[in-house]
This record gives sequence, structure tokens and C-alpha cells, in this order.
Amino acid sequence: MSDTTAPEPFAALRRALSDASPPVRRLMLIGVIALSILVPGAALFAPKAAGATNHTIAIKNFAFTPDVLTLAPGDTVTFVNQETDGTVHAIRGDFTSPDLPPGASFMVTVATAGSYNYYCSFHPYMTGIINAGTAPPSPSPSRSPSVSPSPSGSPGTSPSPSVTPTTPPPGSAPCDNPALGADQGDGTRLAAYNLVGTVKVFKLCMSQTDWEVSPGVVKQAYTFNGIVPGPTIKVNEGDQVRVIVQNDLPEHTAVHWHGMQLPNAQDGVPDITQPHIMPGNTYTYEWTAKSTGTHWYHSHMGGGQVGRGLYGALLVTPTLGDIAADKHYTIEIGDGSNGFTFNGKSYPATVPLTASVNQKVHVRLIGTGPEMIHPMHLHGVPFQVVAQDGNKLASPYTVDTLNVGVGQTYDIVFQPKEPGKWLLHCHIFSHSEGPNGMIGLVTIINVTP
Amino acid sequence: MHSPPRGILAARRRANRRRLAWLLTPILVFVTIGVNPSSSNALPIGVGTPVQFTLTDNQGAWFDTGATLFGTRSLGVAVTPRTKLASLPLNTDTLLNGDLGGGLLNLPLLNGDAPLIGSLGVNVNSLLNLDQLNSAVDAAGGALGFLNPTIQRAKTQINQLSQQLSTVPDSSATPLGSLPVGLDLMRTLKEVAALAPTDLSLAPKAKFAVAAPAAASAHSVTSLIWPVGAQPIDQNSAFIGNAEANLTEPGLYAWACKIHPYMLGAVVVDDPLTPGLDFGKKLNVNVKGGIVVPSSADVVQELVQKFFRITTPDNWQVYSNTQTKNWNPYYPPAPILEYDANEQPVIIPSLDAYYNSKFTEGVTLPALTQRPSVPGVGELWVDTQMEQYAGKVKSGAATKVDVQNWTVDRKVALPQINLNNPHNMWSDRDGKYIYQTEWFSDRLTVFDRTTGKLVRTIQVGPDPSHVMTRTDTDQLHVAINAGNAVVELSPGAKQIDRRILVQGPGQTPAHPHAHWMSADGHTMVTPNVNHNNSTIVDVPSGSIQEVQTEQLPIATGMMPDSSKYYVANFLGQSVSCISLDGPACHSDSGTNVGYKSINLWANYDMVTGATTGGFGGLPIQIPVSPDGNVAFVANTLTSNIAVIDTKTDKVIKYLPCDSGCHGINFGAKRGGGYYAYVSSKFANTLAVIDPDPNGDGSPADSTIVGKMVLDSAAGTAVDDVVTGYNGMGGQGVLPYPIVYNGWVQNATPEMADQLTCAQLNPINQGVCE
Repeated sequence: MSDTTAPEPFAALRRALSDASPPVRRLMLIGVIALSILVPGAALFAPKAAGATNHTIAIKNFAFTPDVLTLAPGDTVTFVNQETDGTVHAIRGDFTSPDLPPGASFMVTVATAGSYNYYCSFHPYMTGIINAGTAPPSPSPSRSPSVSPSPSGSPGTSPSPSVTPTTPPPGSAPCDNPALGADQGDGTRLAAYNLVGTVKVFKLCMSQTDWEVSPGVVKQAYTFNGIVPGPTIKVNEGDQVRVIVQNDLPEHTAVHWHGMQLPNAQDGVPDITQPHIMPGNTYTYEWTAKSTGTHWYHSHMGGGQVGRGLYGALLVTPTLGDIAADKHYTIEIGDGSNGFTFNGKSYPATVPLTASVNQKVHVRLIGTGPEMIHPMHLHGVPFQVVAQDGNKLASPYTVDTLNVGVGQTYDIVFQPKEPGKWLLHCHIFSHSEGPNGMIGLVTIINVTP
Repeated sequence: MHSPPRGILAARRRANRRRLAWLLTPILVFVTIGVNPSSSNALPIGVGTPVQFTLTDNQGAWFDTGATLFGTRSLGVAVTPRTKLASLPLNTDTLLNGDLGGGLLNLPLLNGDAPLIGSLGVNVNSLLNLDQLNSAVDAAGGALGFLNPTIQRAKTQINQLSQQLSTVPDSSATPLGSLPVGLDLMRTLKEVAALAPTDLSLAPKAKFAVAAPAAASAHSVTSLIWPVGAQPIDQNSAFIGNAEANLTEPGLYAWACKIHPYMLGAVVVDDPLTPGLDFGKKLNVNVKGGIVVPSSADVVQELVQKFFRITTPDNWQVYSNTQTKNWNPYYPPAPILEYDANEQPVIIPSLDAYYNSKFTEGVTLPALTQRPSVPGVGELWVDTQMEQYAGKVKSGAATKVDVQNWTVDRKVALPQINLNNPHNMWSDRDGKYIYQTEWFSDRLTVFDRTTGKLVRTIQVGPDPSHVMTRTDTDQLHVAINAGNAVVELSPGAKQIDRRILVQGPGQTPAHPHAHWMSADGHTMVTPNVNHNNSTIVDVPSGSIQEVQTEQLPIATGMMPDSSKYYVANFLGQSVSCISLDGPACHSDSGTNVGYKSINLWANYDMVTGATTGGFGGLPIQIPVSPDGNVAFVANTLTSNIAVIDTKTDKVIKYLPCDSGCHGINFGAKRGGGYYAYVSSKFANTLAVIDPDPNGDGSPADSTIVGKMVLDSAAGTAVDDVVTGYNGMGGQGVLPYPIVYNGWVQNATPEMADQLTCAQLNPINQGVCE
């Protein structure tokens, strides 16, 4: 399991030597001897040799691109699942990755010269080769996955793997190049993550950003990864989660995981469960997702930080499956110094939601405050309230207006019956109407036939 | 005419009782499990445990729930979640009337008439599930329901419905509008339903697992039928892993594997506040590009009937060479609620009685004593893919038939490698080997044609389906059905020489099934089940060209002069004719066109079932005769064979076939002419067609000249012991010598000696005059 345990270096070397053809074996021996002379005391299989290059193999449209990659021993390869239809891939063969959902990546360091065959365990016709160094090409032109051993003994000549697992390079601090995942079609983005072993590692950079809440209205916002709301952390029940937070704000802070059952030390309350994260500092949270449903995360330092945008959705999909719906949206309601916002935008800049007649539309409502309660009203049809604060209701109830208080989350489901532009808005008139029409806490549901 | 011998009925009853003992296995949601640990209240039924299907390589259990319901392991039942109805138990057994005893199956006619519901000797309320409807109405009314006039009215009307239905025949489909209380009750139940609205957050689920060892390779789970308002599922590629479907609307759901389209699973989602099990109002049916029909449409009944004929091995056709056999398929005797074209409700008191009557079931299969009067040349191999063996877990064998004496000569099951669903074969130039695909595995296996001994097996990619050789190099090509390529191997399948990709870069995998090669070995055509198109490959260069077809193209056949080829569109219910070099297909008006679609449902009304002539459905193999005069199409839905005259590209007639009609290929008839050999998946038969008995070049007189069973018998050489489904599962058919143009010229001298000059020169017969 190259992703979890580092191979014992000499065993790997022995295997590599015994499996390689004689000329290669000689070459490798020379290389090893040279290396040990040149770098006395250095680890033989250092994951990051000087000058090592990082290569990327995209996994998209059920193919590895490039499917044949030639590199130098010591280089790293990052596999990135770029599918847009939700397809999960996993790498097997000479490398073993965990399941890679869209957006996930997996990095290996190819330390030893040789030819490596790999394939996708879910789609076994997806195959690829990595040629490291001067190794001859794979003797098997078939590149057929060795799924089940063939009785006639197909040429099992692929060199043994000598792959060291790596965490993402230390250079990539959260604020170096904040990554964002897929657009959710509602003004929110998913958070990108890397799998390290079985842990989903998210990186959040807290910084000050000019944020346009509606055309021409720019606020000095505080953001996670440059956007309001912060990227949606979406994980499955039981996932191990690590969040590395960097504070690039001019003030100290901490991040609280609202609604999560977790160890006290991970709760994110400055001075009580942890020290303040001072400007420029990085802090790591780690917990296992136990509380399912719709939750959120936010800074726990002077409500003003939340009001300026330091919040994001935290969604934990239950093992038994999510709320059944054709469309899933999230609306995070804000009323701080950015103004009255849905997902960081004021009408008319709010992102309209789309649905077809009779589709089941699931909206997660999150009251991020920091100050007010908002009676949320839907035009056209009533909606069913199916969960509150992440907990499914045993008896869902049907209303057309629902008060969403600060800190609360509700999951609502409805089925539009007529095509058209239907409003979802806060029914406090001063939050949603101005002298020239709708403003602030308003969005439109575009229902098509 | 519907009455099987008493002994059979009694045995079936006993068997059913045994089955019923199993039924406590909860494929359905018996126990309500909280979705969220923090919500302690019980949730409505239909949530919690989903209907779990495990996809397997096993005969009849391709979508396996783990429990047998009326002979099928591929059926589940779930309930629409309604608030307040959480406490109702969901018992599949009761819903499908398994609790009423097996005596309800295949009920005989009384004096030529179907018996009346009230005369069956079982509680009418139980038979019609009206007892459960009463409980649901009570639950919807709550503790004070006895004060609620709507609840009381509903209960009175349910009672009236019970009385009024007791005088209708058990095989009927009764419009509720024809009963005095029918529509009133439906209106009242609608009011009751408003008291217990559906819980929008919950939906029953079906989950699907594809994993070794049950399934050795990849599959898809693709919606075939689903109620309007629910969402279908499909994948962009065959996969190993998990999938799930939300069953958000009451009604009938069915899924198929696009790679192996007889792999079927189904779930009925019942609304507890309607009489009968709900098939839904309008259903999407994934044929002909996607249609929406009322649930009472004939096409729905045809597909549901085939579901039970395919997934219930008891319903397969077992013929004998010497004896007549009774064949009387059975279905759950459950009440079904359908809707007609005017969206009016129709109650079917017993699905079993209704289908027995609608499809005139309960027939005598004749003893197969007819043999061709003229022997064939050489030998014939048929993949009997459903046979069960003692020495291995996986299904199937290759069966060799002696076409001089019409006996089963040999069975090659290869237990030492657990040969897995042998699907299609070809042979090399010297006739040394049989190349055998293992469709549910990733292997191409080679065995000795003469001895049946294993030569080698090679991993080629997931779900290898068809194999043919290249006439110029004798290399072989294997279509990777769950992949993106046709693999080219060295003669003898010693190694993979090349992977010929059959879709452009950046496309999802095409999933080619049954390709065909041109006589000169330079052109290959593939039908791509995942792209609804066909790829024309220039074999030497590997460059490709794609041509649109109709839905789920599965097999191809090419003219001996490579002028055009035919593609059978399995779900399109049609045949595409595609020209390869200038317009060579014939339009109905007689002009030459580049492309033509031949609609096999032109004479069939999908809703009423009315026909204005023969029709075929779910077409599969489609070879063109070596002389180019005729294309035969094996239709698995309609159990018949379409005869296409290649001079007009019209279906000129249909020939009968058996359940699951599947494979066809042409071999030589002694003294000149050809035989088409036909296999059927769910029958143990081989049929022999003479495509042109009078030798005038026209297939108008094509006819069946012999039939026999493919069972292992005394004198059959075997390498393992058949333990079940003897002779069953006929799919790939390979007559040897291979007499298609391009191959026949390479026949060994021993074989060439037995062929006529015209057979050796199929499109250049002038040399023989």
C-alpha cells in the first residue's frame, strides 16, 4: 500500500534489483553506489531529490492523460480526477491510491528507474504507463491490468513498485495558491482537498479581499480562499478530516466547526480550547465527521469577522444517503458589513437557482448572521422542512415561510409546479425591497417546463 | 388449455411453499432504521434498508437481491414514504400474495372461462391487498380517524370495491371506472392522501454493487423503465463499484446492464394509499430513444413478462428431442394498479392470471424430432452460456454439435480456469484453435478445436464479447465490451499486438459489442452500445470514422462484397443499413441511399399492442449470408427471426424462434447452399434454417428445417459434469469451416474438399460455370 506505508527501502531495492533485467540491474547498482558515494548519509530514496519535477496526469473522460509518461527517477506525479460527472476513479497496479472523487488528487514519487503499469480499479480498461529514467519500455505491450492472475501466466514482468508516499509539498501553504473546487450552481464552490492516506486534507486561507456584493458595490471582506461564503466543505459520515488554516488577516482568529461532534481541542474557540491563531500563523484542525447533515464553519472571534465573510457550509453526507432530491442548493444568509447577502451577493447579483417542473429541489438554508433572524419565503409552492441543524425531522412539516435564526440551518424540499421565475426571499421588507424593486436577500428560482 | 398436469402443479405448490419459507429474508424494508442517530423517532417505511442488488455472473441471478420471489432473485418491493404511515409493516410476501400459497399460480380455466375472483377460495381482501389499504387509511386518519368522515367513507368504499371485484374474472384488467365505486374510491383516497403527504426528504433507494467475486468484471446499471417524475440513472462507462437510484415516485422501476442487456433488476414502489401495487401512471421506457407511455401500455407488459421469463429460470423453455414438454411461465399473483391512455386507473387482480391469459400461456412444446434432410459440412460450436457445472463456480460451456448426425458431440467447460460465461467464438486459418471470449471476465481463452483441451488464456480487458480473425494476417480481434477498444492479437492469441481505439480522443468509452470484419481484413465495423453509433475502422492504420445508429447497437453483419453492413439496434428496435463505399442501401422507394433505418416496430402499436403484420423486438445477431442474399436478425423480445432481403433492405418475413432468441451464423450445407444455425438464451435449442431451399437466390422461401436440443447426453465428451440448465443459454454460434467470403478461401484442404465450387467462391460464382 504505497499510500499508507513507506516501503522498507532496502527491501524495495532488493525487489527492484531482482526484478530488473541484467543490464538494468547493473545500471541500477551503479546508480545506487554512485548515489551513496555522492550523498553520504542521505536517504537512498529521498522523496524529493534536488531538481525533481512534479508531473500531472489528468484523469478525465475515462482516460489517463498522458497515458504514457516518461520522467526522471525522483520525480513526483500527481494524478488529478478532473471528471465532471461525479465519476470516482482509483489507481491500482504498481501504484495504489484511495478512491479519488472528482477534484481529488493523489501524489506518488517515482524513486527508482523502471517501467510502471497502472490502471483504474473501477474502469479496468483505463491503463497507463510511467517510464522512469532510462528503463526499457515495458516488455508487455498489452498493458493489460493484472486483475486476476491468468492461469497461463501472463508476462508478469512489471518491476516491483518503489514508490514513496508524500504529503503535499511543504511549499504549498494554504495561502500560496488557494484552491477551489467545483461551482455548485448557487454561488458557492466546493472546497478542494487532497487525500493523504485516508485523511481528506483541506486548506483554508483567511485573508482580506475586495469583494463585489452587487454591481459596483465593493466591500473589504474577510474571506476563506478569496470567496464569500468560504468554500463548502463536503465530506462523508466517518471521514477523517484535516483542515489546515492560515491566517493572513491583520487580526487574530480561530475557526469553529459549528454543529460538529468532535474533540474539545478541535472546537475552535480561541482562549478556551486553543490559542489564538495570530496573523501569519497556521493552525491545523483534525476530526472525524460524525454529525451528519447541513452545518457550517465560521470564525469564532468578534462577530464582525463572520459579518465580513468568514463562514462557509460544512456538509456531512450520511452513510445511508443524502436527502433525496434532483437538485441540491445551499443558501447562506448574511446580514453583516457586507450587507444583506445570499451566498455573499445581494440581489440582483445573487445566483438564480434552476429547476424543472416537478423536480425535487433541496435547499440548505444557513443563517450566518451575525445579527438577525430572517423569515424565508418561497413563491409558487410551499416547501417541506425536512431537517433542522442537520437532524432529519421524524415528521416533516409544510410551510411557505420559515424563520431562520443566526446559527440555525434548515433543509427544505419543494417541487415547483409551474414554470417561471419564482422568488425565494427574506420577508422582512427592508431586507429585500428598495425604492427601485427587489434588493438584498432575494434570489430567483428559474423553473423550466 | 391452461392446465398443466396435476403433478406439475402440486410440485410447483410444494416448491413455492419452500420458497416462501425464505421470504422472511428482508430484501425490503422490514425494520425501520433511523437515518440520523440523533433523531430517535421511527421513520416511514421505505427508508433505511434500501433494496440491494448484487450484480453476479450467475444464471438467472444477474441482479441478485439475495431472496427468491416467485422464482426470481431480481425483484424488490418498496413503499412510498408517507408521513403518519411509519408504523405500517412492509411485508413483501403479503404485497405479492406469497402468503396466500402457491395455489394461485397458473390457475386453470373453468369450462373455458377464467375463474372469478370471488371463487378462488382465498380472502378477496388479502388477494387484492385491500386489507393493507384499510390499515393505511386507518393510519392516515390517526387516533381520531373514526371521527373523520373521509376516513369512514374510504373504508366503506374499500369494502364495496372488494365486493364488486369479486365478480370479475381473475385474468382481467378491470378499469376502475367500470365498477360503481371505483373512481369514487380513488377520489376519496386522494383526500386521505392529503392527510398523510409524502415525505419529500425520503425516497426508497435501490443500491447496486459490482464487485468480485460475484461479478468478475465491469457492468453498467442503466434505467430501462421508470415512472414519470423520477430520475433515471446511467453511467458514462461500465464500472466496478457501487451505484444507487432514488425511487422518488410510486411505480415500476427496471434496470439493465448496457453491456449484458439481459441482466435485469426491478423494484415496484407501492403507494400504500392506492389499491394494488402501483406500476405508476406514466412510465418512461428506454427504447426507441426514450418513450413515455401509460403503465398499461402493451410494451410495458411485454417487457415485464420478459423480465419474469428471463430472471426466473423456472420459466425458461426446456425442450426434449423425444418428448413433448409443458411450458407454463408464472408470475407473482399480485394485484397491480395501472393507468390507461386516458390516465384512468385499471386494476389487475392477479398479474399471473392476467399474463397467462394475455400472452396465451400454458403451451405444449413439441418433441424436437425434425432434422435437416441434408447434412451440414464440418461441425458447429454453440456457447451454451447458462449451463451449470460441478467443477466450477462460473457459468457456461462451449457445445460442439455433429452436423452430420445431429448429435451433441462435446462440451468444453474448462473447470480448471473457471471459464466464465463463454459468449462467442471464432477459429484460426488452420482450424487448430477455438478462440473463446469470456464475456463476464477479462479473458480470451484458446482451446484445441479437435480435443477441447485448454491451450492458453490471455487477459484482454473487461467483458470481451466477440472475436473474429483478420483474413489477411490470421490475427484475431476481440471487442472489449466494457472498454474502449478492439484488441488485436497474434495468431493463436499468443500476445496482444495492438489496441485499436474505437472512439475519438476525449470521448467516453464506446463499449463495442459484436464487430464484423470485411472479407479482405482491411475494414472492421463495431456497434458501440455506449455511444449509439458504429465505428468503421481502417484496420491497417487504425484510423476511425463514426456513424450514428439508433439506440444500443449491439451486433453487425457485413455483405460479402463489403458494400454495406447492418447493425442491430437492441433498444432502438431497428436495423441500420450503412454503406461502406457509395450508396448501397435500398430505400423503401427503391433508390440507393447511404444509410437506412429498418424499423422492426413499424407494424406494432406500443400502447394498444395492435399489430398490422409481423414485428420484431430487441434484435441481436444479424449475419449476412455468405452469398449476400439475406440477413437474418435474432429478436430476443419477440422470439422470432426477421428475414431481410438485402436486395430491398426490407423485412420480408419472420421465422419462429425460442425464448431469448440470440445467436445466428451461417455454415455450409452439403452439396451446396447454406444453413443458418440459431441459438436461444432461455431455451435449450438449436434451430437450423435453410435460407434458400429452392436455390433461386431469394430468401422468400427460407424456412426452419430442423431443431434439436443442445443438452449433454450419452456419448457427449465432457470435461466437467453438468449440474443444471443443461443445453441452456445459447449465444455465440460458430460453424466450422468458416464459409464467409474471405475466410472460405483459406479453408484447409480437408474442409475445402467438402465444399462446392460456389461455396468456395461465394461472390465470384462465375468461375464455377
